Amino acid sequence: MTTHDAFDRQVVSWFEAERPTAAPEGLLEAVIDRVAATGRRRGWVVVDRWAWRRAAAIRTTLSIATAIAVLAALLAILVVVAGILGSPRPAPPFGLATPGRIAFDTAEGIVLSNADGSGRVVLVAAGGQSLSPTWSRDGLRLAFWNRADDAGPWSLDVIDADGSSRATLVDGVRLRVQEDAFHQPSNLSWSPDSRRIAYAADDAGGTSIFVATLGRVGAERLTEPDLYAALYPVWSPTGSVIAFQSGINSTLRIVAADGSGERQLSSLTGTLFWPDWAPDGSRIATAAADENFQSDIYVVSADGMQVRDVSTNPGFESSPAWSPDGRRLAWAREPPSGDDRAWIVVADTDGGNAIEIRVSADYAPPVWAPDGSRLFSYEMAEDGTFDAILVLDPAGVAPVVRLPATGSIGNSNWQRLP
Amino acid sequence: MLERVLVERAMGGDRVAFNELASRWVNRLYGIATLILRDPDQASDATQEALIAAWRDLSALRDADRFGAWLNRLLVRACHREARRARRRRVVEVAEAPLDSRPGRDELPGFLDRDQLERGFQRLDVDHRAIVVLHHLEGFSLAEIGEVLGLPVGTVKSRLHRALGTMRAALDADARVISIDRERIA
Repeated sequence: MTTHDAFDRQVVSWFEAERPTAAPEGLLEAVIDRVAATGRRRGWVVVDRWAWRRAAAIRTTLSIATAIAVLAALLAILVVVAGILGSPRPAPPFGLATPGRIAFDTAEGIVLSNADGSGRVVLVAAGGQSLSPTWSRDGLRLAFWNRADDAGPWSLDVIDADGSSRATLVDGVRLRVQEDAFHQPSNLSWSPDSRRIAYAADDAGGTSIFVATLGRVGAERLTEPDLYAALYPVWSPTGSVIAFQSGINSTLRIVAADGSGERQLSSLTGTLFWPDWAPDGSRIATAAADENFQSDIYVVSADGMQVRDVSTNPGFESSPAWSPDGRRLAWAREPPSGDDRAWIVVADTDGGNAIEIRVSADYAPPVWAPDGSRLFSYEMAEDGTFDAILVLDPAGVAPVVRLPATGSIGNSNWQRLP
Repeated sequence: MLERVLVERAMGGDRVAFNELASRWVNRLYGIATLILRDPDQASDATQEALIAAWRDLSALRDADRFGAWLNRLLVRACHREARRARRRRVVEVAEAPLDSRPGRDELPGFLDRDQLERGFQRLDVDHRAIVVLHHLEGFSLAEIGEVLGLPVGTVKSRLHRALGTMRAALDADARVISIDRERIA
């Protein structure tokens, strides 16, 4: 085979990876059965059109283009080595980035894995409970909840991506409404500068939104205690405000990063679970349910003036997640019937061109790869925990990759790299 | 037994000999059809149809040494028919991929490049896909591909060039989009 450049080799490698090693079972038998029942056509004497001779010469010439490709490869190797030897570079906080490893909790502890299952390591070994690993926006650290046993308060810890420099930022945290329903406390939301972490916690008979800061012990309370539970804080990509869900009518609210200016963002009520900001901070997506608990996906402008229902399915839909390029939304949809817990929908941000990926996934927010090439959801086990992470192609073309994650609570996410 | 001997016996009506030929070729044909059609069920049907057509029309083959090329010709024809019959499904049901569980390997996944190659490849019609697969994976020369497809060598060469250009353009276009977006964010 003659290959002229790196692209040809890439194509060949891809073909070799994609080619099945064997025909499916039963195909040969089917052929044999049909041959037994098939007659032959009469042979006609025709001029033979198949006379040819296989080419024997193979030319190998080191062209200028090949020399340039070799030099470029050597230079790339030098750059990679320099990168490895140097300090880790931060990723951009929003928008497209290179996918790193997926962090998720399991019965073993906090695990890191590439999306194809390679490079699996236990970063934090189980000793009590360590949950909800959340990558900083720059991809350099993980924040997670930790406690020594199955009961009692939590500490908010951070650790570097290589497992070093573990530190406790906050101790004694509880969020009973989340622990009761989801076996874990709050989600963790990093600020765009990867210096602060927002979370919800019990406080004086209600719940409040708090912010912890790297390098400091303790947290700052941003909102007054809400008797009806302030939940799901999500830092805006602008870094100036935090959105969260709150109040007796479960509305969407925002508060400035310094705790000032708390207000209701829109008239939408019945909001459910995690809202998610568009990567440019211009809009926020959320699920909201009516009195019959039928929930749709809504996109709200950052000033709250525009609210648009982007899901047309009559059933229950929740947990929207923006693609990193801001061009698509993914969310969970209840199947009309059957054994699957939830399907994953991928659509344009106005709900158009929707694709329904029918795997038995979960209502937890789908998590996009930082380059938008994949997203993952979860497969639920009998005991209500998750036993696998399902890595999906948003176009629904490539096969699903199933990463074992026995005992996972969810709230996993994908590292961003430069 | 030499393939040539099997072919000659099959040409004479020996079903057992043909079944032996089928068992030798079925995996390879299925692999090629899968790459061309990108659908395992369609590939299975195309492979079966190609082998049945080979049995039915074997009398038309005058030179047993050309059985392989002739069989590939039948396969490409069958792939054309399958592609015409195929309908695009809006709701997708995905298969599960095998897991890469090699310890210690810490490379980043190349999903993006593979996806871009896939998308570039899907822009090609059956003939262009067949040319790329037969040339790059099966090692056929341009002349051999021309005989398989009944095309002049020059036509094969230009179609191969065009097909690879289409795939390369898909890679380059997506790389430019990512590059531009990163510059905006920075």
